[in-house]
Order: sequence, then structure tokens, then C-alpha cells
Amino acid sequence: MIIAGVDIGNSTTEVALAKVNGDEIRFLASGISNTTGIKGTPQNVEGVRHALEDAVRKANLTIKDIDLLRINEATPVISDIAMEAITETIITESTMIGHNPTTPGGVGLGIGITIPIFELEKCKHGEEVIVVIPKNVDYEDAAKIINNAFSKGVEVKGAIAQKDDGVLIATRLQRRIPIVDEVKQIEKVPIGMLACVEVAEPGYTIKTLSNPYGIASVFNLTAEETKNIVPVARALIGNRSAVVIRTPKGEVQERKIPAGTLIIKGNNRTFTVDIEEGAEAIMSAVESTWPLVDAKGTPGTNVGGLIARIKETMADVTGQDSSNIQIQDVLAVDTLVRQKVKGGIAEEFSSENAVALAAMVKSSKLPMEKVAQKIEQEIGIAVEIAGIEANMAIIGALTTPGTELPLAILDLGGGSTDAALMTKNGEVKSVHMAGAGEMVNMLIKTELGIEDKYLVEDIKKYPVCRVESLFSIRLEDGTVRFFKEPLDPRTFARVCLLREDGLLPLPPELNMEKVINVRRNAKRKVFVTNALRALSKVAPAGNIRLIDFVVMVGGSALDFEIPEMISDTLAGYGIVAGRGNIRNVEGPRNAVATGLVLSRCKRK
Amino acid sequence: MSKDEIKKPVVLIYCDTIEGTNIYLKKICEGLEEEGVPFQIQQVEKVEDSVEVLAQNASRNSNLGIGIGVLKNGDCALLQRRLPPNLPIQTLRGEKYDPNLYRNIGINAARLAKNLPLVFA
Repeated sequence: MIIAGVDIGNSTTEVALAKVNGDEIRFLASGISNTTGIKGTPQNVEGVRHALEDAVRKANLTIKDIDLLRINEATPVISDIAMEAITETIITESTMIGHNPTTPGGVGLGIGITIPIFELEKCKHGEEVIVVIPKNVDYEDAAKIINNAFSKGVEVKGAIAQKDDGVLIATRLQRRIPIVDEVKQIEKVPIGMLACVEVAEPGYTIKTLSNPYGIASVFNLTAEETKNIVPVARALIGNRSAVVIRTPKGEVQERKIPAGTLIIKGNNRTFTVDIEEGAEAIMSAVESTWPLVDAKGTPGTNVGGLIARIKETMADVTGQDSSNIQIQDVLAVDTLVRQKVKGGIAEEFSSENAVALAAMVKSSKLPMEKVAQKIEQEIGIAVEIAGIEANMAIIGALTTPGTELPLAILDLGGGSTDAALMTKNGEVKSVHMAGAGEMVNMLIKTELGIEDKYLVEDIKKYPVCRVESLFSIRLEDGTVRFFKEPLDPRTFARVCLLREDGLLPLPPELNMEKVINVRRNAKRKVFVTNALRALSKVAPAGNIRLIDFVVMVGGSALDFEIPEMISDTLAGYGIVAGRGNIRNVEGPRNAVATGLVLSRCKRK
Repeated sequence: MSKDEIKKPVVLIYCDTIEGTNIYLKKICEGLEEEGVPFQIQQVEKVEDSVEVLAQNASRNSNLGIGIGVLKNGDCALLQRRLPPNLPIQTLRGEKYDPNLYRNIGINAARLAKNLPLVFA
């Protein structure tokens, strides 16, 4: 008879198709499709049909040839993620222009009163001014007007230009003054205010405006005012040019946002942690209360919203009341959010501290009977609900060459990181941890400031390279690869993703080291942390060193670096860990589906 | 022209006539000057082929390996020494004159020399 094992997962539905003749099993093909609807709901049927069609096509069969479907008793785990920013920089009244045009003009530090270039002729001898040049003024005219002012004895100390022509103006002037150009919203520059323009020598960064005391010296600030200017100085560090303007009411604040608290309930004790204490404090509360009974967040904050949202989703799926749904695990990670400075003029960004959170709920049982009935009706094949997902995954993982019991698996998924351990006599202990692939995406998205979710997924999946010439790229490991055909000029000198179908340029403000760092750290903070947490909870006596073999399965085990990071860390505990190779052909995929087929025959 | 001049690292701009291409040259040179890359304009005696071939000749004689060709009809091309004429970095056709595009080609020639990402409007 022909049996299909069907694993309905959070993001993919996988099928293992096999011909069973007594004790003899021959696997014919595998199929895969996206899961339709939330796992454990009747909407899953479409995804199951697609995955089955995929498998039978490869085996030259039709769906009608299948005699029996075995689906897993899915562990209903739902997880979700949220971000809570802790700080925010606000500039009330425009006070700074801190952007980094590639080619500012002139060099030096200039202090004066801001004045539109049209009013320069009205200035008197000895007046110290900073000229504001809008885009409708040609660079030649601008230079002429400023030179006229010089000859009248007006002290033009610096200039702020809207177009990219700082160098063109500077080279036509009789004196060398600093010019910051490409200020897009020049109309927002306040007129008649004391301003300071600084342009550093090529190869250097500004010194005065990136130093709080430097700004204090320029504007004669009091100690209290100097404190307030710190965020401005901080945002300007590393720039080659900058402008700071003092407006009478101008005020910059680094505001602390009330981030809310997280209440973590255990069997014996309850902890209340302020989110702003950071990830470490939250995780030590989670670990010391484990196993969690429930968690709650302050209503009206992102934490509160996150927890309410997860509970409602689970309530919908299981038909229970959301007050009966309890949070089983929380993962908190410290991160930085790239945020636009509120009140900046030239689209300045600042990095704000934030905490990313993943939470997970587990209900007693998902209504898989309903799914099974629906499949029988719509596809017309007999359906059996087989054993627990974790057991099936281990049976499947054992088909990886070089493994034996006792064996632990790490299932690296999209929503949760799961671990299970099977002892020599077949007892299984399993655990689910909040936080997996989707949380990595969230960290990449916020730290790099990228909105496009497909690009974020690609940054996670592909290594980066830098296009060094029209014919060569430098890879992450420092090696250079040459091409016979010239590369697309759009990729020239850019950091690109190394996709199978060619190079995909990233936004120009991202440099290679930053992308690599953010990507690796996100993966490490989520998967390495969770691998250790999960394994120590299934390990004999809670001692991770007593585990010998770990097989990694699941979608994120296909990643080009996550399994290596985990193997490397686990090697320190004397554990043999690696990516699974189900049935010696499937790689880390299809473990549960394979287990579902094998378990039927083992029981006989 | 002496040999010393050719040896200087410059972006070479070849045109069929300096007077006839003045409006384009001005914008191209603005782009190069703003980016701070030296350049040199030369009038070529006869132009038989396309503006791309003109640009390729310029790039081959440029010490930076970067050449621009401009014709009096406004056609303009940017090429790098190792590129074939049918794969220019950027080309402009003279039918409609947009000064910003000519400045942009100057900026890109400079950025090619500085190994910085190019800008495409």
C-alpha cells in the first residue's frame, strides 16, 4: 500500500510518500508546500493538497493512488514578536543638520547668523553671517554674490546649500569657508539665528560639533543646556560635515518612553520586570521562574499588545476563551532601532535602544480531528492521526546517517525553536521556546532600518559581497571572484547580496561589516540562545553535557550559517551536533513526515 | 600636446567640436568638479563611428581608464576601458536636453574613478 506522512507545520506542509509492503518500506518521493491558514485549522487542507500533488507528481502517481494519510498530532504552538523602543531623540524646533553629503565644500569651522543669499547685499561691513543657498540659485551666481560680499567687508563664515554643489561654490570663492550641501529641506533652516557650520578635511571627521563641550563653547551654553545638547553631538559623531543652529526655544531631548512592564508568573513566584531594564533582566526572570504559568504586559504598550495578540490568535484557533490561554515562554533580546530623528532637517537618523520580544503559547491540543475529517471529505483519502510531533521528528531524524539513541533534536523553525530528547527506551521529553527565524528577521529589519520584508528575508538568507570593479567582487571571507562579463553598473562599488540569480544591491548607506555583524548577531542572539535554553530543559538532570548527539532539523537548519554557529557552541559542551540529513537525501527537511510513515510500520 | 599631460590621471572627454558641445560639456564638467576628479577635454578630428566608440577611444587613452564621448547633437556616452562599446555605463540621446542628466554622467564618471556607488536618476 502507499502511505503519505503529512506534517502540517507553522510555515510549510511537508509530505513523505512511501510504498509499504509488510515490514519493507520504500520511500518514493517528498513534497512541500506553504501551509495555508494557521496550523491546526481546516484551512490547512489546501496546503496539504498542494504538498501531496507535489509528491505524487515526482513519483509518477496520482493522489488517488494513495491509500492512507498519516498526519501528526500537532503541538499547537503560536508565537509572535514585538519591539519596544526605550529611548527616542526629539528635536523641538529645528536645531541640527547632521547629514553626511559625499562632497561638502571647503573646510573649517564657521560661526555666524543665518541669512538668505538674496539679503547678503544688505549686510554691513564686519557682520558675521552663514549664507543659506536654495536650489534655484546657480553655483556661479552664488559664488559671485558671496565674493561681492567679501569685497564689501562682510564676514561670510560658512554656507548651507540645497543642491549638490558645495565644491563648485567653494572653488570659486576668494576665501576658504565650510559649505554643507544637499540639505533637502532648506526652507526649514531658521533665519536670523546663530549657527555653526563645520566641514572636516577629507579623511577626517568633524571635531567641534560632535563634542558636547565644543557645541557649548560655540554657543556659550550653561551646564544644564550642555546636557540637553548631548543627543545632537552624539548624532553627529562620524560625520564629515554638520551644521548646528541655536534657536531661542530650541531644545533637544532624549526622551525616555514609558516602556511598560512584563509580569512573569511561575508556579511559586511572580516577577515584575521593567522592559527598560533590558533583555538580560527579563531573561533571568524567565529562567528563574521556569516553567512559566503565564505572562502579562502593561496594557497600552507594545508588550501588552504583543501578549494580548498572541492570546487572541490562539483563542481563535482552539475555540477557547482568551482568558484561559497562557503564555509559556518569552525571549527578550537587546537591540538598536534605527529611527529618524524627529525634527531633523536632512533626514538624520539616530540609533535608539530597544528590546525585542517573542512570546509563545501552547494549548492542550489542537482540533486536528476537524482537519482530518476535512481532508477525508475533500481529498477522499483515509486519514490517521498519528503520534506526537516531537516523537515523529526524532524517528525521522534517526534516519540521518551516523545517529543513534539517545538522540536530541533541535527543530529550528520560523516561529519557535523546539527541542526533544529520546532516551534508549523510547521515552521522549520535548520543549518549545519562543523566538526563531521571524525574530531574526525583526532584528535585521530594525537594526538596519529596512522596511521591505522580502529584502530582510534575503539579507538573512544570502551572504553579502562588495562589487570592487566592473568585473570583480570581494566576498565575505575576503576572497575575490572575477567575472568574464561586466557586472551591472548599478551594482558598482555597492554592497550586494549574492543570490543564485545574480547580485542584488543593498541600500547605499549600509556597509558590508555592518550588514554581516547585524545578521550574525541576530542569528546568534536568537538561535544559539534558544538552542542552549531548549537543550538544557530536555537534558537528563538539566545537564546539557549529558546529551551526546543533536540533530538539527526544520527550515532554519537550511540556513548557511545558523547550524554552524550552534554546532560550534555545542562543541564546547562535548556534544556532536550537525544539520540532519533525513533518509540520507532530504537534508534537514521532512523529518516529521518521514517519522509518520516509519512509525506506522514500527508499531506493527 | 606633450606626453606629460597624457600621463596625468584624468577622465578624458572626447567631442567632435568644442563650441558645438559647450552646453553639454559645461554640465559634465560641473559633475566631475563637484566630485573632485580631474578631467581633460579634447576635440577629435574625425568621428566615423558612434558616440560609444568615441567614448571607448577616450577611455583607452585615459590614465584612469574612464572616457566620455559627446557629439554636437547631444549624444553622450560613458565607458570604462575594459567595457565593449555595446555595454556602456550610461548613455544619453540628444533629442531632449536635460542639464541634470549631463551633470549626472559627469558625477558617475568621477564616482567610477573614486570607486564609489554610481547615481542613476
